[in-house]
Amino acid sequence: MKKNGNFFTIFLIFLLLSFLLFGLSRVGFFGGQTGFLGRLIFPFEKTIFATWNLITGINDDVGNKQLEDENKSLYKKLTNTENLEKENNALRDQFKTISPKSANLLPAKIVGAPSFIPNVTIPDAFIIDKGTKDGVVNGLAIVLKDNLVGRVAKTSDNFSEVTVLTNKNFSFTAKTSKTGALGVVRGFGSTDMVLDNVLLSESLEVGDLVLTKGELDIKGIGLPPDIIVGKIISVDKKPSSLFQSAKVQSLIDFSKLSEVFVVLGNQ
Amino acid sequence: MKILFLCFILLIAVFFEGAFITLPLVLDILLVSFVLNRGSWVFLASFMSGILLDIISLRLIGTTSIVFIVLLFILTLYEKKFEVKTVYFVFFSSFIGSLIFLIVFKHDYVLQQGAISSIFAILLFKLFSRIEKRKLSAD
Repeated sequence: MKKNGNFFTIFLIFLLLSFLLFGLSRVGFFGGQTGFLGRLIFPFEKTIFATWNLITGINDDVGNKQLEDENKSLYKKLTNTENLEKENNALRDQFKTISPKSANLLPAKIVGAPSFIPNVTIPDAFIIDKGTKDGVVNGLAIVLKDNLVGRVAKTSDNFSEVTVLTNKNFSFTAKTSKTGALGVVRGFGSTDMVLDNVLLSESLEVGDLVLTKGELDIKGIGLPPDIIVGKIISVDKKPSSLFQSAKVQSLIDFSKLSEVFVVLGNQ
Repeated sequence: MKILFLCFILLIAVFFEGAFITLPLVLDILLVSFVLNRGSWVFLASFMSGILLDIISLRLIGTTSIVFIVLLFILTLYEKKFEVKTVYFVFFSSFIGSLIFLIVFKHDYVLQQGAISSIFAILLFKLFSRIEKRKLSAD
């Protein structure tokens, strides 16, 4: 009985302490969530993550080689698209208007993927080793070459959490490269995404690239236009429906990523 | 020595859980340690490992500690009514505990991960029991 009483007292002490820390953390008492302790811990986490990648055979060379091959064919497709666009002056002007003049890229290493079990799940969030001290803010786009990887969801002084494109909480407006059909891309927590809300009058083709439409704000924060989201692998078009949709597959294997780039705005 | 060893594997589990897996390994280790030793120091270990996990996972500090401490306290309530030092109890408590943990932190594949987590807890329970028996016979 005495032992149980002891347990209850200790339980109460630690529970109150936890709630106190939780409350202080919630009101932003600790500033960034990672202070001195974070700086002490993250190098270890980084090493473990890198070692794991090495053990499981996931390394930069393999991932980059595949991406390079895919990007070569994508560059060819993009060139063709650009030539077609040149023939249409009105469309070209509009395209110029919405495109950002330049984009500053900040390289970042992936140091964690909390919701990732290799060969069981795909990562739906990454932790990168760049934070507010490096100019990273919520909403910035994360890319790898011309491909969209995700968007910054949370930041601390030295680290940030990135929501991956395929995450079920991720959606944004997009367009197809050939036909310019507009729609909303939504993640589903699997390897594929869905391009939804596309008017029946628009044309969707299997193999066509899906690009971001652009969601930059006045500070240049958000998704820049014309970043590759993926390619259409199937189209679902029913005459009875209001909209048509298409399954979109990213050209990136998110499970093999180890380095990404943050597209900094004009902050 | 035993506590030092547990602290070491807890630290390893914290880094593993923070870096690349969602399985609640830390919860399993805490749960098995509590079942075998029933020491109040497990609450301290839950508190500390919860804070470390929150820092690594960029969560609000204290969230994981609250979940760990509450789950362990529920175990102390069952301790009065059931024989807790059994494989069945470890299996069910780790399964339910993992489910709650995974749901609270909005992870996917809750049932599958819960099942894997409880298998891990059983293996850990067997291993720790064997170590304990060997130590007792050596004494």
